Amino acid sequence: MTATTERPADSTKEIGKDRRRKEDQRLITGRTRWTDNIVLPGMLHVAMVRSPFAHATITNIDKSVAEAATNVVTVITGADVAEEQGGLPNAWPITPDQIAPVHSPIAVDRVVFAGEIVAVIVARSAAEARDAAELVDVDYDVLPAALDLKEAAEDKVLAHPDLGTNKSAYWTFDSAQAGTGGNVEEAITKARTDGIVIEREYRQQRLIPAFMEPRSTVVDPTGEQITMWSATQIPHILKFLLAAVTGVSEAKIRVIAPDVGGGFGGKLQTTPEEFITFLLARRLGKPVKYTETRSESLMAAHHGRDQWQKLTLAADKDGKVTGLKVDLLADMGSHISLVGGGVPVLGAFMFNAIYKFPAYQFNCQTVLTNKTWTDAYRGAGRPEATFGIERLMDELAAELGVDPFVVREKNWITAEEFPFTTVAGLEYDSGNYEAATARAKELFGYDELRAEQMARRASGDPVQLGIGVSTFTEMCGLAPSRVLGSLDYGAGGWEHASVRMLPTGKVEVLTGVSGHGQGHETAFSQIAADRLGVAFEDVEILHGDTMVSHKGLDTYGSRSLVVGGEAIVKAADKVIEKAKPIAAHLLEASVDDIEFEAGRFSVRGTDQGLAIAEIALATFAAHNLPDGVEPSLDSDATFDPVNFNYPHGTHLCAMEVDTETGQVTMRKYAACDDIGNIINPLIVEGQLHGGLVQGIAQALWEEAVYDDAGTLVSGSFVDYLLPTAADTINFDLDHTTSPATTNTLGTKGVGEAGTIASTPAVVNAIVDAVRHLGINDIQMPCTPERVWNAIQGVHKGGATEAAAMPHFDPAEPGQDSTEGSAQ
Amino acid sequence: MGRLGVADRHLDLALIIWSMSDETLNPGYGAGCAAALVERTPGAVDPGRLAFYRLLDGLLSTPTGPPTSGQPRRPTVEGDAGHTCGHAQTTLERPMTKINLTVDGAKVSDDVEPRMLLVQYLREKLGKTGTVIGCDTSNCGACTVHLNGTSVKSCNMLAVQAEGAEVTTIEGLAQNGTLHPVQEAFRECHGLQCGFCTPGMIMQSVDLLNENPNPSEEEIRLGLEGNLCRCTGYQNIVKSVQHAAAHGAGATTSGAQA
Repeated sequence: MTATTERPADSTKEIGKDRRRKEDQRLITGRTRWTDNIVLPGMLHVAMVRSPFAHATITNIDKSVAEAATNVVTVITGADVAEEQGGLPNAWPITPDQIAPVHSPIAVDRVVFAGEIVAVIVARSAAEARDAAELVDVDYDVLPAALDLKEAAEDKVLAHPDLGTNKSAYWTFDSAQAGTGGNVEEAITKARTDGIVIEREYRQQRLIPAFMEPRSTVVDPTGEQITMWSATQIPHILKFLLAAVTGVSEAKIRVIAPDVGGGFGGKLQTTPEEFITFLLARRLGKPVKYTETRSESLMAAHHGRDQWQKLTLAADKDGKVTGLKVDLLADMGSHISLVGGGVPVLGAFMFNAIYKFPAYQFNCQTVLTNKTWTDAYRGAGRPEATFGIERLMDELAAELGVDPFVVREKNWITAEEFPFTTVAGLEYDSGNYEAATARAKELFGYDELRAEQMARRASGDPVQLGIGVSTFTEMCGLAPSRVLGSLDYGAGGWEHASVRMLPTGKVEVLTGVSGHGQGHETAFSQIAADRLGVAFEDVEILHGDTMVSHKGLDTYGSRSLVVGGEAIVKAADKVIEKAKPIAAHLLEASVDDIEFEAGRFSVRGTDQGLAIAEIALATFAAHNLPDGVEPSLDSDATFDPVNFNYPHGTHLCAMEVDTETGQVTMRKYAACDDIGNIINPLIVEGQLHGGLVQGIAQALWEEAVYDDAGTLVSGSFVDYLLPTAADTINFDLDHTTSPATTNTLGTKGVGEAGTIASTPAVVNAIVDAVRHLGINDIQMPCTPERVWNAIQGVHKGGATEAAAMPHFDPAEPGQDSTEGSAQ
Repeated sequence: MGRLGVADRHLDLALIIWSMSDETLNPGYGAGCAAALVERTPGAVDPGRLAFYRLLDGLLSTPTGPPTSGQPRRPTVEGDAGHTCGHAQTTLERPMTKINLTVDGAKVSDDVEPRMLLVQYLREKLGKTGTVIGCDTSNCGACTVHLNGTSVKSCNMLAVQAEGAEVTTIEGLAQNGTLHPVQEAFRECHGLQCGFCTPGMIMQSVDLLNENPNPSEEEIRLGLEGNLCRCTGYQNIVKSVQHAAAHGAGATTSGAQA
């Protein structure tokens, strides 16, 4: 028998340890398998010809020169494959009458965003494919493009003239109709006469997920199964949808997500490039590879966010909120993608956040435009909602002239009130907003920073200090299948796991979730090690290959641990139950007397026992098993959660704003998150750091910008401002713990928490720094220019928009940096 | 921040050369460039750039292969009449150039297209897939390697520019099965998540510590400014570099020193 690592009898639990990650050895030595690393015999390379126009009719494509080029194998256009290429799926039609254009992988006669594929080159090398892509001559008749979201919602220009409208779906929730609360219009009307009404319109700018590994796909049609390697978050869903769209038997398709370099929702998609390479490999009978350039990725991989939010908050004179009404416009871009329409709908359940609002209404119009299609980006709907409500709560506090925590405490669900059914109809199982807030304020030095803020105000310091609060919660752990069904989502939300007990004592755990940086191999090993009483080192986590981990619903929505982890627990428990009669037989005892603890089956009241590895070996040999018992301990489990789970936390941000230049600088960021029980604190910390920076980046730097012709002008890392090490600071983090009650581990999701929480904390801080100058909003990203313009606008007594003067025009006042400081 | 690597100074040389007319780009062009370089920067001549210019004349005088006899050696620009995208129509017959260099301690030699980037050479010809490509504008730094002991972005120089050089990639950093202290530190401090930026981040960190064995937090943050990470928020990367510094990483070097 090969050596297994001895697990000390009195070992401490693996769960809760800051184990260093199993994944890291290969990642820090370059022994990685990214999709683009894969090379197969006879492999051909694919390059795309993409539309430079946002909206145009394709009048002619001359591919003859490209076809004649040396080492070019074939060139195809949309027309060449119109009958066989199928349409990309939308898995979440949010309303029965949702309008969705056909989404061809290669445009056939019309392009609807700049970056859409119009022709595809296959050549013997990637360089030759790209060279030949330059030789394809495409004639376009340019059409007017629907670019501005608000104008598109009015159907001024049609993104898809054949559809007759840009309005895709109108999704609505009303607490009075649903029976979960009162009538929001009555609440607003009443507040207009004897209360407070806060009306704001916020912009959620368009963002780009910008995972570090560009997307890549390799398809090998040789052998019986067609194998696709793809840099995807969703190998199982991709396999199912490849079969559903192409008609190829699902049993003939194998999808592998090898090492995947980040996703953040951006690889929660089935892409044109995947369907094109699948088609080409089948046609040519040879392996094909496509790897996008970064410019292609930024232009044509799906974007996120992009909403206008019209918000009306009604409160009584004491700041007790009486109703919230939300009217959203959500830009879907050129197509309704995999779950695109559902993203803003996820926000419908989160605008009421941690508060006990008595009345609530959410209306969302999804709109088609001639821009890159949008879909999930870290948080997906929930950051947008959290931003809206946390900005409003600060506005309410400002209206009342009280500290932002005063209105929050007045309205939040208290610790004693859990479980609590919200006005949006969700049941929050656990939480303690008071405790998280108290700890966050302590970490932050809230009172001291407030005192400093007052001092700077009083002294007229040109650099003002602002403090931003965000008391967020989110719904994650997607998701109870029944709930998804009620929302017309096309699949369930369960997760699968298998535990295989090998004769050498090693344990293989197969999981249907598909990690791409989250540390699943480490955290799941800790769970399995504890449950089975085996050593952490003896557990191997297998994932991301549909032929190995045959069943699963993949990784997104902070679901991997809370749904996938629980499936592992259940499968491990089945292994133990299957081992008990075998242990009893080998120990010549009754099953009723067998106890299992810390990896050992023992006979109650005796010192006799066998380790689980010994049972595994005996079961493998199968020489001496009880009658009628199958020679296997291996077990499967599929777990369907009964509820989402609800991480929450209090985030505090201090921003310094130079009122002379508009420069904003992050001074301090502290947060206390309650994510239930923690499996690995090191991994949790990493998830929070990364999440925070993505949320902060939305507040300060990132925006996908299109020009008035519909060209993405932030289409490279020169222009799309991912933060660097030099732009960011260290965060002060801690946790309070209210275990989730809907999984045995008591865990809650953490992957999206930082992103959801941080954006409003930053913007609230910036606004707080300049509110005394009469400013109550600055549009994201809060660039120095926007901050400066806001300050100047107020000084001139005009609207913010009117202050958008040319840069450094000497004729304009306020250009000298010594002018215009806070008075 | 000044030290983003030698390669930044060679920005787009390949494009410049391909875009020149045949009249300009004759044998002797490289020597002219080299002379101008020496004149412009007396006493501080960039050796990598100088070597590249000298190599250039060799490339320009390379005879064309049999199929192109009678054809111009360089891409022929046929004009872009009828092209709506503005791309020049080209027919390309590229000469191959032999290069000799040392990569991760092994002497290697290959015939490469002059336009092949160093990162493509490492990945495609040598199978050094530990070094990755994250962007096409030299912003992300994922492809960072050491060239004669100094970090460069290998997407930002041509393979032919590495002629005679010693290149160290992430795959050559560990010695005799022992991880470099910076590699150890990244694991110890959870300085990586998806791991895609990690090879470049580690190579840049090693270079940073070679230059400054005891950097402050700010010096680390500025020194890593040319390397993007989307997962970690940088906090644990900074911690990793601090940890490595505290454990003597600054005293180590990788590859030959220039």
